[in-house]
This record gives sequence, C-alpha cells and structure tokens, in this order.
Amino acid sequence: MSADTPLLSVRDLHTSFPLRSALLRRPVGQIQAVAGVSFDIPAGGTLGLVGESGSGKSTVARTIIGLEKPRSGSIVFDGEELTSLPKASMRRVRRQLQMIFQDPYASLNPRATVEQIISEAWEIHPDVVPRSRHRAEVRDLLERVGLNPDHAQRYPHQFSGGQRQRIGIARALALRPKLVICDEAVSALDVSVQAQVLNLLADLRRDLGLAYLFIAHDLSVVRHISDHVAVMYLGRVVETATQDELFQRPLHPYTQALLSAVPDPKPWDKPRREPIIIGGDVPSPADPPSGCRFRTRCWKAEDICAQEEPALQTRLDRHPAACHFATEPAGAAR
Amino acid sequence: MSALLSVRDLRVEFATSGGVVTAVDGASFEVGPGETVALLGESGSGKSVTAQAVMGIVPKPAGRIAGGSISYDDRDLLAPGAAKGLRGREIAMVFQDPLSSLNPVFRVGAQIGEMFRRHRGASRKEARAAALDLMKRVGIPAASKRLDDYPHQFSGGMRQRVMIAMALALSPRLLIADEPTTALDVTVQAQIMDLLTRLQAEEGMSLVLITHDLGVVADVADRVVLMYAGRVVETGPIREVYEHSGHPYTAGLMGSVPVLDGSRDRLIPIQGSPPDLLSLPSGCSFRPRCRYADTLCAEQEPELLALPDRPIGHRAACHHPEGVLTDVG
Repeated sequence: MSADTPLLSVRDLHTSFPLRSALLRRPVGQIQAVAGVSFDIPAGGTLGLVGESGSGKSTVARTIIGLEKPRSGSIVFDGEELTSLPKASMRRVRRQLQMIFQDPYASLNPRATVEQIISEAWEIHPDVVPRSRHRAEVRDLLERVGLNPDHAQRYPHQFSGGQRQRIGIARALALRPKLVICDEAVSALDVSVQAQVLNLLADLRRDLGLAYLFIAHDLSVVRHISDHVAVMYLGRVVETATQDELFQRPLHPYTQALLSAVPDPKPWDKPRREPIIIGGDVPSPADPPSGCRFRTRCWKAEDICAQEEPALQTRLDRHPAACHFATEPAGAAR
Repeated sequence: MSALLSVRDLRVEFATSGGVVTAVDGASFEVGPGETVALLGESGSGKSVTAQAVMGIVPKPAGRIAGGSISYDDRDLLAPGAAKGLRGREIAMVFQDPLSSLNPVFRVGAQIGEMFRRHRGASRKEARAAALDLMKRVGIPAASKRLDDYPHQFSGGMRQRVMIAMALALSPRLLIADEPTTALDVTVQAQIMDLLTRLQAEEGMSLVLITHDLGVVADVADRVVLMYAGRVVETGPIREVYEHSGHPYTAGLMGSVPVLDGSRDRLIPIQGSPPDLLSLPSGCSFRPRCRYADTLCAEQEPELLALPDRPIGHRAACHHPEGVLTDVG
C-alpha cells in the first residue's frame, strides 16, 4: 500500500431500509438513509462527520463496521474491499476497525467486570494478547485511558459516565486498531467531563497513530478534534473541506445555517453576525425532495434546484460543495 | 425593584435506596419582572429539582421540600393552598421532552383549547379559535390544518412549539423552560430560542431558562445562577460571570467548552468526576476537583458573597475568589 493510499475509502455508498406497511409488513418503499456518500480518511487522520438527526451519519458508521448491509457502493479499508469480504476475513479486518458508542452504559455488559469487558476481544483474537498477559495488558490499557488499574475488578455501575466512556475507549483499543469510529462518543457527557475525554482522544491519536471517524452533531466539538469535515444532510454529503476551510468559509447554505445556529458561549466583543435561522424541519428520508434535498428549507432555492441534483464538486476554486449557488457567506471572514 | 420570584435557602431531599440525597441544598436566587435568568448546571446540580419545587411538582413520595421558602409576587408558594390558581396560570413551565408532556390520544388543538375551557370557561368553539391563534403565534405552519392532528404527527421542534403555546395560553408572568432545546437539532434549537425570546419581549414576562449549555443562554439571559451539587456557586450578570468568573467551577466550565471560532488548543478540563450526592465532601463540595482547595475549604462551607472590586450582584461561593479572578483575568 503506497503512502498516499487512504486508510479508509468510501465510494458512492448507499444504505437503505425497507419501509413496510403497518398491516401486512409488506415492503412499500425505501428509506434512503445513506444516498451516495464518498470520503477518504488517511492513516492517522481525523474526519469529522456532522449532521442533524436523520442525516444518515450514524448509518454510515454502522455500514462501515458491518452492522448494516449497503445496497451499493464500496468501502475499502486498509486495501481490502469490505462489502464483498467473506465473514472469516471480515473478522480479521474488523480487528483494525473499532467503534466507541454514545451511551457508555448501554454498551457495557453490566454483569461483567472491567477486566472481562476489555479482555473479551482477546478470546476471539487470541493472537493479539496471550492469556497469560491479559491481566497486565488490561492494567496498561486502564492506565492509558486515565483509569485506576486497581479498579479492573469493578463493574460498570461503579463508575461515573465519563469513566464508563473511558472503559469503552479502552475496550476499543484492546485490539490495537488503526481506525476508531466515535459515534457521538462525547455527546452524553457533561461539558467538564467531555473536555477530559476529548483530550484523551487527542492524546491517543498522537501516541498510537490512530485515525478517527468522528461523528457528532456538535460542531464546536467536531471542529476541535477534526482535520477534515464532511457535512451531511438527508443521506448525502453536502460539503467537505479541511476543518479550517469549512469553518472559516462555508460554501453550502446548509453549512452556513448550521454554523450560524451554533450557540456561542462568548458572543460579546465580536462583530454582531446576523443569524441565519432556517425554517422547517428535515424532510422524511422516505420521501426526499426532488433535486437538491435541502431546497425545501433553502433561501436561495430556484427552479433548477428542484430539477437537478447538484453534484458534490469543487466550486469557486475552493472545496467541494453540492449547491448550484454556492457562494461565500456575506462577511465571510468572521 | 422587588422580585417576582424569590427562592430562599431552598432545601429539597430525596429518599433513595442509598440514603437521603439533598438534591438542592440551601439555594437562593431571585427573578425580577421581565428578567431572563439562566439556571445553569451539569447533571446532578439540582437545577431541575429547583424548578420542580417552584412548580410544586417535586416527585412524591421520594422527594420533599425540607426547608427554605419560595415566594411569588410576595405570596408564599409553599403555604398550603397558596399556589392554587398561580401555578399553570401565572407561572407556566415548558419541559425538555414535549412528547411525554402531551397526551398522545387527544388532538393538539383540543389540548391547547383545554387550557381556555378549564381556566377561562370558554366554549368549545371559543377554545378552538383561541388555540388556533396561539398555534399561529408560535409559528406552526398551516395551523388551521394541524389543529386536528395528534402529537405524534408533529416533529420534535413543532411539538415544542405546541408546548410553548400551551404554556402561554393563560398569559403567564413567569415562564420556566427546563432544557427546552436539549432534545432538538441545532437549527431547530435556534428557531425555538428565537421564538422564546420574541414571545418574552412581546409578553413582558419573566423567563427562567434551565440548561447545561453555556452557549445557549449567553446571548439571551440577563443574569445567570450557576449550581453545583445542589448549591448556588456563582451568580451575577451573565457576561460578568462568564468573563470574570469568581468560582473555580465556573472558570473550569469556560475552559472546558470548545468554541466555534476559538482556539483549537488543548482544552483545560475540570479534573475528577462529577459529585456523588450520596457522599459529598465536607466543606466546599467542589474542593476534590479544585486546585485552589486548602484546609479552610474542607472545614467550612463557603457562603455566596459579593466579590471584591466586581460589579454589584456578582457573587461567588468560594474561599479563594481572588486567586480565581486573577488567573482568569
């Protein structure tokens, strides 16, 4: 694998769920949760995937990790095509690909000790850590995620929410993955604890060379941790750029509205920016609007937006945005 | 200016399997007429229980008000029978989860209209017309078509608008909103905050915004009351408190939160874990996480006192506010 081959490369991914009738459970349609998503993550890089509910960001994660079957598209991880991989090979690849979930309590077995939770993966992959080393390795991992190694025999309920999330991180690290998918991994935590976990994730990336797919709805958090950011709306990526570009000069109206809506804890002493408040709600993914999916809430929408779906392509010599009328916002450099 | 709502030394206890928990431990604050006050705190801080005490909906029998006073418009809300006719009329509340606060089997228009029928003796027809008016005021599109829809047919943001409509039905003078936008997407959150502040200006009512999000209230609140482990640790004009924090917890929160146009440097989190209400430390509850803590902090609970050389109304409950102010400044 050459140096510039991405660690993860997703191309034109489609994942849909059947919509069934209430009475006979007959398929009556499709919910296109993910409708043609492409992105790359280099080794050691962090891609932030942002979007509101129904954007399909979590379905992207679940499809990559094999919890959902894609309808079409390709997922190449570490040189292997995951969508056509036999089960046995998938197990081998999945070692390198781990996930941290939002709810640290629901994702930990309440009847297992921390040591059992972390070492469970080594039962399936005995070549990673031999049984004689389990106890010592668990202690190392706990120390690395900032927990007391002497607490290895405790149960999840004996830990606070932030500590439980650290256990989830230790478990994800147990198989020495190359890519960790963080699905709203800090969303449920109080802000004082969230900062601790964000710092931990940054330290682990630096020390272990991890790559992250960091999925979150909180843009401030995503900006803080990501190198690149992709914005999703109703199953599609509408804009993607480096962290710096995207937050400084967003091109897509949805990104602009999203950034404008982020509450600012320090609004004083700044030029007053006119908030963009978009009306309405995200349409149903079972019946997305024709053409551009954002047009029903967009203040720039014209006839062409209903007829022609804008491609995600480089516009204005800048980064890719899927909008017929992509422009920099008024007073861009804020 | 006399306060519309005045909470003094409020103490609320809950019986749990692990023992008695003091969820609110001597909290005091005031809300003036037309004022917007943010009640800010993380989980377990007692901010929601404080609101429940004001509304008289502390869960029973586990919870009980163990001390203190709550007065509204100089009337004692805790006296038996005194709150009748006030709560729900003059004091209204909006909750985080609108779906569980609406009755799923009644049409939305009828649920809003019920307020007028029950409290104002309106006829069915009058109530329906009043409900329609309110739905328009809170920005529900095609309101006349949606009167006969059920709650599940509304999106989260629209349900929150319905809740706000019901809260406003009887023109309250005080609206308490408990995490009104926490369950909503950020673009919808912006819509609801915009609506709440617009309605507050139109009605001239007082607004208490309960939240864990420092950012949501920064632009709209006049004053902030910050709670930690059941106690008020800092209070004052919101910009003053955010920019010149006098309590190490407040300063810690400000260092923990990533800001959209701020630095991407390492965050400065608060060390340690949130407090366990069943085994609070002696003295100051924050001291196990505090870098200024000394023996005084373990021996004596700090009082909420005015800060030296800071504007009137800025108070903090810390033995070492000078150190905090210097470091933040």
